[in-house]
Amino acid sequence: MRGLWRASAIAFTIAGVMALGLTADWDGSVRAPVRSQPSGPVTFERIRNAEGEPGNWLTYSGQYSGQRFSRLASITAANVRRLRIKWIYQLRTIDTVETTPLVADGVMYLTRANDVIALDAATGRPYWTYSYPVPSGLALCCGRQNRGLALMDGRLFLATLDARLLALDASSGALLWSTAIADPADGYSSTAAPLVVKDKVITGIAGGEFGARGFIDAYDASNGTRLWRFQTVPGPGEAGHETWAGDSWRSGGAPTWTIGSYDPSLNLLYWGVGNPGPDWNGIQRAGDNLYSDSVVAIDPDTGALRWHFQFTPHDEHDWDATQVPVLVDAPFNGRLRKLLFTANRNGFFYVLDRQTGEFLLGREFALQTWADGLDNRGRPIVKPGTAPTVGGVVVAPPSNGATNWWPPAYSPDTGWFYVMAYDGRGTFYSSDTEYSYARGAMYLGGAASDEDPSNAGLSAVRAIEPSTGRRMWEFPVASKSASGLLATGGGLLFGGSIDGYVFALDASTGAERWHMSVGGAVMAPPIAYATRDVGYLAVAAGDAIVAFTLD
Amino acid sequence: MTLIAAGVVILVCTVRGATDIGAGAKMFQAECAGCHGQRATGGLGPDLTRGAFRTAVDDAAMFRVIATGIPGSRMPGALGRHSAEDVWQLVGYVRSLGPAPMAAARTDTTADRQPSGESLMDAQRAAVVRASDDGNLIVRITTLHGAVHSGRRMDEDTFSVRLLDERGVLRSFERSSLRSIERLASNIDRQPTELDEIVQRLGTPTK
Repeated sequence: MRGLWRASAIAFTIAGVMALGLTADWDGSVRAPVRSQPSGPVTFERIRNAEGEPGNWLTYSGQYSGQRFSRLASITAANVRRLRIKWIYQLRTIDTVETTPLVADGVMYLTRANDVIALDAATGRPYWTYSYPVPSGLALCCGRQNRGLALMDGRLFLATLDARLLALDASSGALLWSTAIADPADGYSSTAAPLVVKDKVITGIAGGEFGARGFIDAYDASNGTRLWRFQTVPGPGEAGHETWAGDSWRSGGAPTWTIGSYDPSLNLLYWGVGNPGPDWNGIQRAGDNLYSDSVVAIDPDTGALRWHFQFTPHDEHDWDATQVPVLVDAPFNGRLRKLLFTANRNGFFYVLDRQTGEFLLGREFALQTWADGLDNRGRPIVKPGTAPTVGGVVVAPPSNGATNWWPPAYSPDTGWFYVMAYDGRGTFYSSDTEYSYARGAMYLGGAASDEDPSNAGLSAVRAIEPSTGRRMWEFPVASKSASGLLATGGGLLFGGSIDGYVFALDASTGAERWHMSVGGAVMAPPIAYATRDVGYLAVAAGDAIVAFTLD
Repeated sequence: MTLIAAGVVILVCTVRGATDIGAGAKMFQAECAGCHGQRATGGLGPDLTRGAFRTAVDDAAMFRVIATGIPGSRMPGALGRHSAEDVWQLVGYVRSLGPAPMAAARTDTTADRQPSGESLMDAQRAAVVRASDDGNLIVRITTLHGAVHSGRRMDEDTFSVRLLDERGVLRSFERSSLRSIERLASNIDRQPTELDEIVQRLGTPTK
């Protein structure tokens, strides 16, 4: 389940404000920005080399590596105190805003479930809005959110709450094609930004609270034809099928509701997989339940599985592995290796070899009471008495996890991994009566309360040294904060808090360098970009997008 | 935020007449009773029969809570699965569970009740309780300059803290300007005498 640290949300447009389809700009006369940056279409090659374009934010994670690191260095520890709000774009929604905007050559593209808006990135004034009508009665575990877009070759790609994939003309907002990913009546929905690789649009799917069998799909970017599907619950005859008792695989969940990362040098996708269904009762699904709560490495050309690593076998705590994998080439035990870092919802930070999937290191990064560590292959040594019970069992992390979907960051300058972490316990209940799968209905097998019984929950931004898993510093923030993070070449780490602040920390020390009250919970990661030679920080806060520049 | 508030107000006006507590009760049993209890007296979720809520201070706020859920909790949003009209019916039902609706939440069914001085005071008290809800602490703050301020902690967040000091003055501090925050007493039971004092202090200017 996507964590409920995010509020639920509804694409709730105020009547009369948003018309269906394309709407003209407010005065139709906003001039196009001066393009001092590389212009022309955003190609696969440009995304692949996004590190070289710090003025743009071309893909959800900033780079294919998932590092969320911007080389934009104009905002530094020395001048960040001069950061001021430049503009605010009001989204006029009561949905939780979790979007990561894209910025390409002076134009910002962002989502409000399920609308797409193009803005002048320098002024926050709109070029166009595309509104997608969201049907009522959808099976959504957690409300209506959307976390962003993909952009390539003049096209924007949006996955909708009713599980469709759309392509829009990036200059006009006109719909180019629309294709069904899955049937929402089966409990499927889409909330994540797609990923474009070469000529394909890659997308996962949500629906893990409805027993909807997960998958990762690739579509032809030119016309929306589906090219391959990787099932995250293996069917009969496939490897891993034996990890599901009886027919439990049919309603096994294992959704893929966040975006993955991509390594062009190995030509591999890395994608996190969510919880098995039903969430809190594993009696009927004996076995490890592959590939739930795993990261899978997939060939983007064919959809073939190269390797997998499962963080939480036979999960009964809803600890989806839907954190964006962070890909880094760095020395490990004296040898330069292609690594994958992830801080998992189950409370452990992992280092894997991303060529082979080999487990290299695992260490707690937040409070956990369910495992006596990991064995030498990375499998948790589960403590007895931590599975959900009818009367309730108290375990850390809570169901929403030690972290969740909100993206971490990595700075090549410090060599450290940064995550918004949570120390706290929750209570897990299993159902004592028979539960059964019904198409499109909630399939939970129990319940969970994330209120810490001793009211001692703590959120903190933490810096982790990846070769040891050691905590280098932490910065406590309001409990249950849920922003992602951004690391910059200016030596800063940006984030936000649930009590309505945007802040900058020194990436080396964790010392606070700047904060501003924006009055709305920050439930999304910040980005950095530049246009007309001015550097910006932008982040969704409350119901708005807020952009900052140095005064 | 104002635009959203305006949108909600429009809905209040347009849908108010359609409030059907019976329909709300049915929806409650189907959707909410699992966590809040069949009689709404609480379970995994809080007791909804108290009439005053931390997050749903009025009908518009309750609509929003039910519609969108509460971040950081297991309370999901209903609007993905239900219409705005359904949610308003649920708001009407939940309000009907409380002992005495607040002025802002009064529905047609209670319009004939004249608000007595006592119930106005109750509403005021509820507002104060809400404002000081999390913690309800007495704190002593020492600034980097050595100044000391004691009082009731009104709110505290990632970077700042606000209190109502012993002389009834509202004070706001950046954490970075403080040497210490000492928590002197936690009044979880909300001793009535102390609250009455504050209610009196804050309530009198309105007359």
